[in-house]
Formats: sequence, C-alpha cells, structure tokens
Amino acid sequence: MTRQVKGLLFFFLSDLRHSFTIFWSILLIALALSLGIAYLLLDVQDGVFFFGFPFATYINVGIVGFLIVKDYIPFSLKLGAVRKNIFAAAGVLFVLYGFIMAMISSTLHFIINLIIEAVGLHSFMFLHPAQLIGSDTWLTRIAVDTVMMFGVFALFFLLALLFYRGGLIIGGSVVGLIGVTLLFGIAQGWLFEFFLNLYHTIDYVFFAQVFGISILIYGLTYFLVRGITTVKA
Amino acid sequence: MKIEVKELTKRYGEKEALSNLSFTLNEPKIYGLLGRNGAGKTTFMEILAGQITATKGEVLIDGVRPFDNQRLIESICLIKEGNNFKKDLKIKHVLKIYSYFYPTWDQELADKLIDEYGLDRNAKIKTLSKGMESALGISVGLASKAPITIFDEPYIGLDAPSRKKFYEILLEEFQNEKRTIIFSTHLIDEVSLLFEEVLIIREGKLVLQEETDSLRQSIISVSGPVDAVKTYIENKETLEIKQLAGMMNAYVYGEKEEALEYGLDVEGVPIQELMIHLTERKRGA
Repeated sequence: MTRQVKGLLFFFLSDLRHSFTIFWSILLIALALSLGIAYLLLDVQDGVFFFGFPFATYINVGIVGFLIVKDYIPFSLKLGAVRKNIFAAAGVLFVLYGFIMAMISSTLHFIINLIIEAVGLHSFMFLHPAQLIGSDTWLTRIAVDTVMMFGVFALFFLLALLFYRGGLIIGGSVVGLIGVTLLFGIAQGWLFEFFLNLYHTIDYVFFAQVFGISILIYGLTYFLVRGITTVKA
Repeated sequence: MKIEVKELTKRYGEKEALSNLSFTLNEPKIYGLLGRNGAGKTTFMEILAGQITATKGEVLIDGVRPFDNQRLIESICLIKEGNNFKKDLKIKHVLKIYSYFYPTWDQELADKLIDEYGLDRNAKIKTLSKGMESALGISVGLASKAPITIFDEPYIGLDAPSRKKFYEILLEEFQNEKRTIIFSTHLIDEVSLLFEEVLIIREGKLVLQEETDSLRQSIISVSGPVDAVKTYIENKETLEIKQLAGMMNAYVYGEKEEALEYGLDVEGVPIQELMIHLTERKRGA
C-alpha cells in the first residue's frame, strides 16, 4: 500500500470514527429498546419482535459512500492526493468499513441470541439475509454483509460521483431513470416476481453475483474519479 | 523547480477568471502574487496545485504538467485562507495526515510551530478560532517543506505578533533551505520586504513581473512645482499624476539621481501603492 493510500485511509477513518460511534450508540439503544418491547410481548399470544442490523448498517454505508464524494474527495485533493490513490483508498475503505460493520453486527447478533436463549426471550427474533440461504451463522452473516455493504457502497459512490461531476441534471436524470424503471417494474409485476423468485432460489451464487456486479460498478467509478477536481459541477 | 505558465485561461461559465496568463518563475525565491479581489490569484494557485483544471493553456513544473502527477503534486503545498482542513479532525490528526502526503515533512518543525502558536493537539478544527486555524495552516505549510509552498491569504484572524512570528520563521526556513514560496496577501506593506519578486495580476492578466529591488529603483515618486515635474516626466512612463495648488506628484519609471537634478523631491513607491495604481490605471484605461 502506498504512503498516500495509507494517509487517505487514516484521514477517512479518523474522520469517520465520530459518526461511527454515534451510529452504533443509537443502534445499541434501539436494540435495547427492542429487547424491552420483546419482553413485554412475552405474554402476548404470537407476539414477536423482529430486529435486523442490516436495515441500519446498509443505510449507513450508503450515506458514507455518498459522503466520500461530497466531503472527502475535495479534502483529499487539497491534501495533495492523486486520483488513482483516492480511487484505491475508497475501495479499501469500502471493504474494510463493511467488514468491520459486518463483524460487529454479526457478533452482537450472536451474543444477543445466546442471551435470549438463556433467558427464554422467544418473542425476539433477528432478521438477516443469510437466513434466506439457510445458513445463519456468525461467519456467513459476516460474508453476506460484507458483500452487500460493498455493493451499497459502490452504488452510492457511483451515484454521488454522477451528482458531483454531472450536477443535478445528470445525477437527477440517472436517479429519475432508476425510479421510473422500478415503478414500471412494480406496475408490470416483474419486479415483484423477481424478488419472489429470488426469495425461493437465493443461494451463495446470488451473493457472488452481487459481489461481481459491485466490483464492476466500483471499476466504472474510476472513469469519474480520474478527472475530478475540487469544484462541483 | 521551474514553473512555466503558458497562456493559462480559466472560465467559470461566462466569467473569465484567468485570461491567457503567461509567466515563468525560474528559481526558488519568495514571490509576491498580488492583485485585487477576483483578479484570479486563487484560481491560478489551485491550477498549479492540481486541484482544478485550466480551460486552456498549461502550467509546467520542470517541463511536466503537475495535474495528477504524484511526484510533482507532493512537491506543492497550497494553504488557503480557510477550509484547508476537515472540521471533525483533531490537530494531531491533521499533522499525521500531512506527514503521509509530503515526503519532505518536518515533524520537529511542525511540533515547534504548534507549541509556538499555543495550539492544543487534541482540539478539533471546528473548535478553533479563525486565527488558530490560520496558525495551523501556516504551521502545516511551513512544516511540509514542499519545494513549492503556496500561501493564499494564510493569516485571516491572526494577530500582529503571530504574523510577525510567521514572517520570521518563514525567512529563517527559507534561508536554511531555499524553496519557491508564492505568497498572496492583501497586507502588502507588512510583507513587501519579504518578496524577492513581485507579480501583479489584474482581471486574470499579468500586469507586472519584476524583482522587488529593481522595482524599487525603477519606479519613484517625484513631487515639486508643476512645471518642473512636467518637464521631468516628459517622455517617461507614468503610473499616477496628482496636482494640487501648483504642486504635482507623479509615480514614474525613472532614476532618482535624474529627478534630483530637476530639483524634485524623490521617494520610493511602496509596493502596495504600486499595486493599487497598476490595477486602477488599467481599470480606467
């Protein structure tokens, strides 16, 4: 790893540490509240409280992916970073940050499961995409989350770059196009069918495909990072 | 490092910030880059530092374009009047980050400057006053020891003793190790003695590039009776003429000895006055 990439990673991680701590503090409070609610549901027939870390963590990485472009790239250029190193550092950050998030959430998932088993809090259940492939273990959750978060990172990084380089016209057009396509999908039913089909057939191959597509999206961002400046479009 | 600026043009929509700007900085010196607000100084510095691109023309450092060239970019440190550092970082983080980006980074000097300006290493940037943030910028710029160090109004909010300290350390560092320092400021009188060469930009164009010593010798302020001054300035290039109650004062390209022979009072022209007149003259032309 070059000196500049190390410097960029140190910069990103030093600055992200604060928001990372706030995020996990809020999420842990939400988890504690959810456990409390689940306890109250013990006496309710069929009362179950579902909690899923991925709902929060995937949104968090999406926001970070966006912020990398909006805040970090201009400052990286001011520091004297060259574009290829910014691209490389962003990629390493996506994997590293996603992996750390996945590890924390999977470990918490594991510990809380042990506790609720011990105290018999059967009204509390975790939701996780790994359950769809029938292998909800500590390791598979980390693997699935890391892959999915890398994908979310790459997608939001690309969208943010489109807004940064192309302004509202290009960025907004792409988002609008995606929105219209999704609406068509819902109206014509193929989007619902796709997810239904995915739900029945999902396996490891799906996550491998997501990883492959994510790498492709991340690779495409190089062409937008290459000529980036400190001035937004 | 030799800096060549060739027909550099930068447009922001309809507005032209730089217009065919050309000049060469041949050797490590302290250059004063002067001009009024909106003259294009910051735009030029940002292009030189590879932060933005030119619309036309080019900047070459030792014959190579600096844009996205790691070897050259890490030889250039640009400190602007504000927004140099991300607000959530601590001072110690900023120093560590810069040490990764500048191979010539001098941690000892950075520590000395941080102590000199009384900055708390654990303080976040967002908690610093304007003056303290400027002090950090100055410390980083000097400690980078980058062969091309650019200061663009680096001391907003900094008090007079702190500015004096900065000039002293800047000169000391420059004498220890020659480097190209490009300095843009509006407090011209305060720093004009530091400048070895002055460049004045007006509306994106270069109006003057001259060594400070020769500038001081070649442009003089003469005053005396109207007829005597008029006779003296005949066939000479003048920058400014003022007339009041039978007396005349003129800023003129000329020699002190010759003016004295005409019985005129002769004084030097402060660089700040020169900048004002050069930019005003063209504006009215």
